[in-house]
Amino acid sequence: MELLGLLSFGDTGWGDELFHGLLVTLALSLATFPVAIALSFLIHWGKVSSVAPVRIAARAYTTVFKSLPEILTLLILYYQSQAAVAWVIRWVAPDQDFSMSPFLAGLIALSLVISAYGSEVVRAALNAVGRGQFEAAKSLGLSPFNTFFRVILPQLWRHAIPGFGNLWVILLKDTSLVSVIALSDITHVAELAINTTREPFFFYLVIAVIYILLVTLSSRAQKRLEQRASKGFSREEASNV
Amino acid sequence: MFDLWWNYRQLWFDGLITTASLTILAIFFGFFLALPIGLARSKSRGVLGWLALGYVNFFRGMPLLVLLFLVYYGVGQFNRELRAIGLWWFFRDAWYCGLFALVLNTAAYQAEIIRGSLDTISTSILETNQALNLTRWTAFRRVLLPIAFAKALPAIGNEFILLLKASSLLAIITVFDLMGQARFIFSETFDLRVYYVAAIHYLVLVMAIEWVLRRIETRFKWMV
Repeated sequence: MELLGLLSFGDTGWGDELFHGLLVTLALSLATFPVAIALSFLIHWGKVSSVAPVRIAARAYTTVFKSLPEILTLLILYYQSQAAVAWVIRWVAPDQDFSMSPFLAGLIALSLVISAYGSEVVRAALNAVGRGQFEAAKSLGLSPFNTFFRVILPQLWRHAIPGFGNLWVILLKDTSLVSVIALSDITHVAELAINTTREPFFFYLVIAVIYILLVTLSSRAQKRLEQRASKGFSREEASNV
Repeated sequence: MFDLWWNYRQLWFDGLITTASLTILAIFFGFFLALPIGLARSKSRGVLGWLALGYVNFFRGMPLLVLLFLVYYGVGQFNRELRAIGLWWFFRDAWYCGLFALVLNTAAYQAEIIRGSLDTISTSILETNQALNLTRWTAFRRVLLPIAFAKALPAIGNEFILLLKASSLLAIITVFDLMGQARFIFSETFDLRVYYVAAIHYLVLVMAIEWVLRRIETRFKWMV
């Protein structure tokens, strides 16, 4: 009971701090996800580009970011960009004080990692849509822009939801890594709470349950979206994503 | 960058061994824990099925980092009780705790893989088992399990690579794997290139494992 008191809002409890940490976690995930999706498309186009150097660079990108542990990517990016920013600042505006925020470093590192996996989701979804749609759009004289946004994307959506849904869950959990570079997300707040209250088991269990709830909610939402997207398709077609 | 590697070669080597042994042990123990859970997910509609689902959702729902903290710092809070039942030596040690958390985590993912491959075994194989009058146990042990294993192999290989990457988190609870050594050497030298050396290690490791996995998969392809 006294443990539950620790979760109360206000000066004595950690409820409001944890809630704020949760908002940071959600904000980071929500800010990263669109960037990661956009990057996934770019990387995929790079991989099928007719220009050899672009192709090789895009392949190398996926290999590297799929092979490196997320935490290593994050640390390298955080420290290196810190150094790079300091170096640039020294030349441009020596009297200014500016540093890379952990939030931005986390956003960039996580979108690099997620988009490496995302480019494969895009590839599979484009395959499922089929070449015929591109050819039909081309023979109708649609511009590449219209082909993509009016013809391909509405159909691609249905095939990409399960893949991107998985990535969203992975992203949500990976945001806990930014606590290592001292961004006060929910994991970091829990660490602070434990430093004063000495109740590690309780607090870690609480945030574990919060993460589990978030993940469960996400997969519910994903199911809904899938159902919505496969309206008007027979059950066989719908399961054939 | 080469000098950083050569000057600390003993540490890098130790880290490599720690990372490799942790990953291999975790995937091995995880598989045997996942087998009954995956089986319950696939075959049982009753309490066992619910329990298995609960296990999977619980351990897949939280970040591995939180699970690590929960096991290492959280369970460590009960050191008096653990001493009383003689388990303190296990939960005192970061290496054991890390391995334990990795096993719990990977078992949840592997259970889903096993369930998937058991569910996709075609009904004709099940009918053949009946026609041959195999008992359920024999059919499971001699027919279904090998097929399921062959089907699951690519996914388990994938999980192996994900686990190798995930094992780097153990550095945060003071295990000296590759990442842990990198952090240690960084604290000695304050040279950012240390992390690039670690990155190259991981890159080479993952590429080597992928190469081996592809060879193993081609050997088992006829069974799927």
